[in-house]
Amino acid sequence: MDKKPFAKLEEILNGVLKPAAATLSQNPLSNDGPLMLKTVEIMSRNIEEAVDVARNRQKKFVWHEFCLTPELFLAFDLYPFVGETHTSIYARYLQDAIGEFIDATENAGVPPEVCSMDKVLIGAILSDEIPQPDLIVTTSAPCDSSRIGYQVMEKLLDAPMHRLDAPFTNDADAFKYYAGQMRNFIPVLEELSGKKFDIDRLREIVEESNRALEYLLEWDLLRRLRPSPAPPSILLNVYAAVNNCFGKPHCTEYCKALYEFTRERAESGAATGEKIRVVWQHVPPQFGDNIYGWMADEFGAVVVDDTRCGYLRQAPIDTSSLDSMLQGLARHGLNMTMGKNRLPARLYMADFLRARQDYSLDCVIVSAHAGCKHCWPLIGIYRDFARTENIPFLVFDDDFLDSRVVSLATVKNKIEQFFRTMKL
Amino acid sequence: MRAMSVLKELSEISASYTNSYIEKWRAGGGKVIGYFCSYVPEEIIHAAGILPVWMRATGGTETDEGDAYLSNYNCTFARHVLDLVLKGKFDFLDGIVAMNSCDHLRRLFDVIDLKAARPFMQFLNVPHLSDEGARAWYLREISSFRRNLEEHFGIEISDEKLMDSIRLHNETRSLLRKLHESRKGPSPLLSGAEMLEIAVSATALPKEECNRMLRSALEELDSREGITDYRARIMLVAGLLDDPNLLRVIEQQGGLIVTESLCLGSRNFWNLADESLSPMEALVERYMNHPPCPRMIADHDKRFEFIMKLAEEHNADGIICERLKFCDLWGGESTLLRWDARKTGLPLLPLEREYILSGLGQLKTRVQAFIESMSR
Repeated sequence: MDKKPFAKLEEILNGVLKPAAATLSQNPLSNDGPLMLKTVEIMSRNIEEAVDVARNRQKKFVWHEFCLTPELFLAFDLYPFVGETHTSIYARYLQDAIGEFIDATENAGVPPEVCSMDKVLIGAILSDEIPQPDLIVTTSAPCDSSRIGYQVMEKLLDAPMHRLDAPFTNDADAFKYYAGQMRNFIPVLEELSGKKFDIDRLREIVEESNRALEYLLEWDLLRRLRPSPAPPSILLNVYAAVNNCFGKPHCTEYCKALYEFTRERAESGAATGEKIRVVWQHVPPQFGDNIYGWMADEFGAVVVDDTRCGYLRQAPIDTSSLDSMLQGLARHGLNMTMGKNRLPARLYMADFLRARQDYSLDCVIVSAHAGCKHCWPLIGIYRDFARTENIPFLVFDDDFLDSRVVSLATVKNKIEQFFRTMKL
Repeated sequence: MRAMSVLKELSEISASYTNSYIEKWRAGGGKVIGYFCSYVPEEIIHAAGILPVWMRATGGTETDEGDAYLSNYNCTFARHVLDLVLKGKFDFLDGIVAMNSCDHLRRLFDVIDLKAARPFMQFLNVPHLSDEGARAWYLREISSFRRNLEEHFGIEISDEKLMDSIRLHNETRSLLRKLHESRKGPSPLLSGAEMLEIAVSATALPKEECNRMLRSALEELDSREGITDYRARIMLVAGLLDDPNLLRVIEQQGGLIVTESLCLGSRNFWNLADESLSPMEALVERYMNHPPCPRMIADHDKRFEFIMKLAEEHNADGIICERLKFCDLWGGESTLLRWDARKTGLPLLPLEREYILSGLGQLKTRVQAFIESMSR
């Protein structure tokens, strides 16, 4: 019998998220429970929608990569799906699937050192977990692994693929160049959807995502307070919750709840016990216990910002014209999630300084993902910079998706030793 | 005393990251710019009166200083180059030009820029597509590169000078292609190792001198009888492979390399710039349309077509696909090529290597087994 697409995603939905929501709605477990419930609910809703569209095909299923946001697809009533975001969901809630997908990919001949994110996606295709897309949209960022990974996926899926070139700079020219490609992409979407492009519809959707971003920007300001009122355990999930649904009202509602919950905590002084303020660079382990929650509970070490939430810190888009909207979407896409990895090292250094100033950080933790050829060559530079700037700095290797590479116990041990050694 | 064979001289030039011609150029007050990758238009550097040299780590033996910045998750080419740079071995360079060829080289440039910058540092933002918009972007990038060179070195790169350079480089490429094609027949006049020595040397010589030597090499081939003592005709496909000794090991097992698709090989000299276009337009068309590397995200089919065309024209019995460990681009490409080659019936052996030749026993065994599997 043919497997249903997203069988494992459905397993996560019915086996983990829905029971968690039921439990949390009966008993919040902690002060953070009401927000955790909303987080579980938005993730459930997103997954439910993905499974439904993949099976019933009431909308065209568009698989798009990092460096693009959903708004343009939504304007054509297409269903946008970011595969990469979901690798974290598999890792977090069904770790066995990660092993299964990676093994399938390596058995097909893809070298083990390719990023596990791409190996998970290729393996999910080989395992019939991924539905046949009506269109794949990929970009040339963030990395070699995705550049070649999508060429492998194209071969396996035999689906139409549209490509955009992501420049390695971050200025107005770069955004115009990328926006120009998005403009050229509009006829492709018109043909796929059978709908004429409607600028007012795009404006409505961009205005919706602007509202979500405004809440996220306010939330970001709250995280800078000392002590930070934002529950660190939630920080680990925010990205996976919102990255696939910008432009949809339920995303805005969630961002509003995130902001209001955090503001109330700030006003009531509920956040206590903060001893160490941490900025986490790159992606933390997604498997096992919530690592941010563990750090807060054990050491009073609060992750006040991390790379993925940092990517969500985007100025709203000017909706006055098609050009301004496309350039805004280009800016968001290029700087969203892993897109920033394409930028020169000097900008990472500037991010370090900004983080120190904005978040009053006490230390930086870098989890260097084994497959990331952007991250590893920057470690030496980071280390020198942290020494010059007198910022305590921990780096360790891991694979943020695959617990078989470095166990969570090992990661925890390294963090514990770091806090002790640095007397933090 | 008999004059040294030009092929022998080219072999010696390929065996180091520098050579006596570069030293002579420097001694005469000439400037030198190191660059990486076949998407950097060396004609612009040449037209500025500067010697362009493809940066290699040939002769490097260790990576101790390079490893302080690049990790063991990075390819050994990048680590060896960085090691030499940090040890001052490339201090003869007046500048370095790199581009987003791959993540390893991109970050290698970042580290050099922050830790051991040369006076002129340029990073080219080369598109990963070759459509109209991407070509316009590439034009913008190389125009800015041209202006930066002019400003930094206080020279003018006129269109006339640029067109002269284009003609000169076209001649180099035509000569290299003739040498490459001397391997089509049943008795190739050059081994694969010799051809790579020539192609690598061509990236490290003043082009005027290089063309003279290539013409002499073609004459020297006329007196050769050709190679017949081989068991199989092999096509070699790889990215950054600049070590003829690796090819020699394959050829010693009986697999004569009769054609290749390499960064420093055929992909670098295959197509010419169209001299009927304006010089900048000619460069854009030439560099955006040369046989692509896997960094180009829409071109796998073109790459495979190029490989199959060469394999067929040179009557290859099988393909060896080499990749540097931790090279994602060639790792994925090698997988795709294996799937595609299976459909054609042409055997393909994927091999993984480090930049410095190592694991010889395993390499020999695998190549021998591959040749035997082709019933030779």
